Amino acid sequence: MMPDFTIGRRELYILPTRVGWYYALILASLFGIAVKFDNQSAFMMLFILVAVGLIAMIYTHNNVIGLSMISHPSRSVFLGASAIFPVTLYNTSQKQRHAVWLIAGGFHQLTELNSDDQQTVELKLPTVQRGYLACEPINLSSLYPIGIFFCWTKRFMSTERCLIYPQPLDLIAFPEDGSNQGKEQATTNIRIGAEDYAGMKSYQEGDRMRDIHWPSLAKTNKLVTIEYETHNNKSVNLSWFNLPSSMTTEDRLSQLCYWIVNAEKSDQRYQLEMPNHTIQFDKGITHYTACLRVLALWGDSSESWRENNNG
Amino acid sequence: MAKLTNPLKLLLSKLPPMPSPPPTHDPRRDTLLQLSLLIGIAVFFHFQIANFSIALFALAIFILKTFIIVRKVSIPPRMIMIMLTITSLGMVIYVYGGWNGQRAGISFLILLASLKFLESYSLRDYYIVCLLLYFLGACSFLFNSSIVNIIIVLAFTLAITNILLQLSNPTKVPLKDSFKTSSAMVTKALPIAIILFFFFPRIDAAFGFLPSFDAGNNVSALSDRLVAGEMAFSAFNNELAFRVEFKGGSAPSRPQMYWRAKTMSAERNFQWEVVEPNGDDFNISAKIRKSPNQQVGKWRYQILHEKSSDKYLPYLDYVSESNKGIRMPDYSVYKFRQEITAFSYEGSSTAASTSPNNRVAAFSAPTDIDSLLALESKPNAKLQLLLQQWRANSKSDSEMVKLVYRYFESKPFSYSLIPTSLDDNDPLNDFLFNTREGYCEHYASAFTIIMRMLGIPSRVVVGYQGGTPVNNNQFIEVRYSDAHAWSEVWVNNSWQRVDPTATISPERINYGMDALMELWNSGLLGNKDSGRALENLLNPTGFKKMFRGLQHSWKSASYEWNKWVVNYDVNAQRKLLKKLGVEHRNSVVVLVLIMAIGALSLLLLYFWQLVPRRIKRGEVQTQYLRFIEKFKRFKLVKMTSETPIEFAKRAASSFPRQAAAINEITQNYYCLRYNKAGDEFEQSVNNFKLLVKQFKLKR
Repeated sequence: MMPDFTIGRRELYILPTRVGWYYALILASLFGIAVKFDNQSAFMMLFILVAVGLIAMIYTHNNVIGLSMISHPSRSVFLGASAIFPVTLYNTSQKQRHAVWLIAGGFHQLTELNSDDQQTVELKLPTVQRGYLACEPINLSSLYPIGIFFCWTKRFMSTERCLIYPQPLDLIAFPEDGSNQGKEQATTNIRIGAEDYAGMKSYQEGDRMRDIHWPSLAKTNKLVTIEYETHNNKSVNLSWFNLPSSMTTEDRLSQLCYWIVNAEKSDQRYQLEMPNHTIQFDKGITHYTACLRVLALWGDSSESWRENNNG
Repeated sequence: MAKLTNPLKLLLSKLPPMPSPPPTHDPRRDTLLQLSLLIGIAVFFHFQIANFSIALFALAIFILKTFIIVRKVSIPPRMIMIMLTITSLGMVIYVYGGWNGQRAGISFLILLASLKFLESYSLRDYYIVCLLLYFLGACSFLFNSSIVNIIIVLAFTLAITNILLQLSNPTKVPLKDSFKTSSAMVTKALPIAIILFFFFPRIDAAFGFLPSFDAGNNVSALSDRLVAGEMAFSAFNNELAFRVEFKGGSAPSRPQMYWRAKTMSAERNFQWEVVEPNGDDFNISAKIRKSPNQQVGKWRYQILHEKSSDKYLPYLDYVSESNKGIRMPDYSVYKFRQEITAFSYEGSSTAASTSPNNRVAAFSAPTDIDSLLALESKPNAKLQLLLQQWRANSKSDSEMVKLVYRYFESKPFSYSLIPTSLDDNDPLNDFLFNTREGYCEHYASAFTIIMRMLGIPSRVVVGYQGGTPVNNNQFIEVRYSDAHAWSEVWVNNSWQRVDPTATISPERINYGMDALMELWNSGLLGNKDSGRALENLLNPTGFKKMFRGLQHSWKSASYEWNKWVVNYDVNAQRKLLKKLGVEHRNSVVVLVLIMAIGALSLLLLYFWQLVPRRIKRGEVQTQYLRFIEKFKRFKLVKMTSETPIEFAKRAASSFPRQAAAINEITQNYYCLRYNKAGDEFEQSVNNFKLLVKQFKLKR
């Protein structure tokens, strides 16, 4: 195991905090008093406080130095949820590390490490658009022990990135025109959103607001949606071309995303039909991620989703 | 040019972007309760230092805040806070009549700390309260520099550090762990603090501004007036005046230990007053300073004086040398500047006023005989008769002195700590013929007056007599209760000490005030049993002896503390440097140099640690690096990620004609580097060396 980033002396910076400057002010005025009143005990106290400050600086420095980090791959999420970048911190020394902050993109996470310990911290970043989200530079900082010195490290540029799928949105009813009459599903007549009541299930992203069973929210404080009967072993063709032309690209992607999520949930076979690219009928997690990946990277010419569409 | 305009910006631009500070958190309640306890202790100590009403006010605020913390109530509205602040400011001004002075300052500080504590709600507020508490702890030394106080303040500092530690950590740390860390920090800080303390350059205190003395700050001092019956009160003042350490092992015996502070030569109806030195006196004292006689007195000593506002410094009689104050022709030592803290000085003295070693002796002759004979008291008929007798029965002044001394010896005069008060109109005659009971000042005063009536120039000397030896004469403690007055007469062209108290109460002179007080308390003073009581007192047995031993070691520790810390000044620092072998006229320069060198070497050490370490390479590796070096000319560089075999492949494809040689060298390198070293290792290495040497690249 080679750490991606180890904090040596050259990776470390330390400056007094605002409270630290106040501390210096207190020391300066104490010096004035000791000189003015020629009081040797006040001098002694002054030097004790100076030394405590110095020791605090060394403690702050020692609290961070020698730590190493490894970043782990991030799991894909839907737009709107937080992207999570796991980072493992290693403390190979015999010293305990207290109150170490990991910072990425202005978001802080606190950790404590025992001697010879490792801790995995999940750095969360907000998602604002689909596609790849690169991890922000990661800093480490510490105010330990008495908060008069702030120690921080050089930025650790993690190469990890998180694939953000479009936000699943149910905007229109599933089109029931003839275009769905594919070769293998001629007899099927699936209606997502039809009125055949099938049961209740816990809320899932993308469920329509009107399907939420509000009375149970009041009772159990949990979101529950009404599930309608779907028919297994059926196939759906989810096509870009079936969507009304008035919809924007993002809305289309969100809608397709919702249908894919739903079809996978209900264990159907589905096909994603996009301009110039079609993913054939299939089901299962590989198929599912391939479809979502296409949607996530749609229009991003720099990403070669065509080659990776199988994995 | 643009780069030069703002060098600071250039410097700062080297720093990487600073991440945002961690989010603040609410301080935990148990931490706040600890902080509240500390404020409570500070307020409690304030009751001792300064005004009662201010401490009471601070206490009320403290209780209010503790209530707020315990009950989780919100802090009082802003309006009330402003009103409380104004009230507290008003109180300080009303109580102390202004801002100036240490007491006003510390009262203001305690109010500030408790008000800040009251209005605190965020983390940073509590940080500031902690810093104020640090400051408050340090300021308490302005009032008390004893060893007990520094222990208390150290504990206080430790507790504050502990609270800061808890405040800065958002997760809860067990109190035991946080105390472990904070005490480790303070313990590690102590040696640094001690080094800084001794080597941080001190400046001679006699510069620029005078510190403000508190008006209400009654610092003990001997009075400049001697009023019969007043000095006796000091017998019950057990406060320490000064400590003396004799150098070179020679010290006078206790009956010889007269510490002169001031002489009084103006008499006002049985009262004596100090005559402030005039220009002539200072002229003479300048001559004393320049006198060529450079011999030192018989006894050399160092005095650690406690805080005192007195203008006269006590020296052992008769002072010959002094390093503080101005030696006056009357053997007293005068100083212009009042000391505001404890201070120390050195001197040497001779046993006799006429000793040839004594620098003052040659200048001690009275310049104005008349002022030494002037009297306000008048003798009554009885005394006049006595005076006539004494004049008639003696041939010389010295015989006359002896006659009068014998008179005090023979008549039933008695020694008392609470003497009967005298008739205001004629106290002298009332004392001599009626009450015949007094403290030392009665006898010194009466004796001196009689001397003047007989035409012998004389004066009263006020100072201390004796002292308590501590820890086998390591040093001597002199207290205000040792204050004493005696008489001095100008006979045979020299000043002679006459102490009439010695004949009235020999115990006072021979055993000191401690013994006398003991006798006084047990009612044995002047009694037949007093001898045995003294014996018991001086040689205690059993538990009492152990107790005294403990007492002495404590006194000794506190003496060392005072000697090395409280009285540490320019001179002490210079002496320390001299002991360490560094002698320079300007000790500040030396110290600044030492500090600069120390800081520089620390910096160098730090940067030296930053320098990347050179990796030690064996012979085989060096040769292989030399081999690689040969490709550099042809722009073929081995990547760090490449293994030697990969590199060899690449090199061979670029230089097909030398592929065999490249492969051979690489093979050899692998063998030598990674195989076990056999018997022919040396031989193989030499072989390899030769191969590399002979290898020549050609396109």
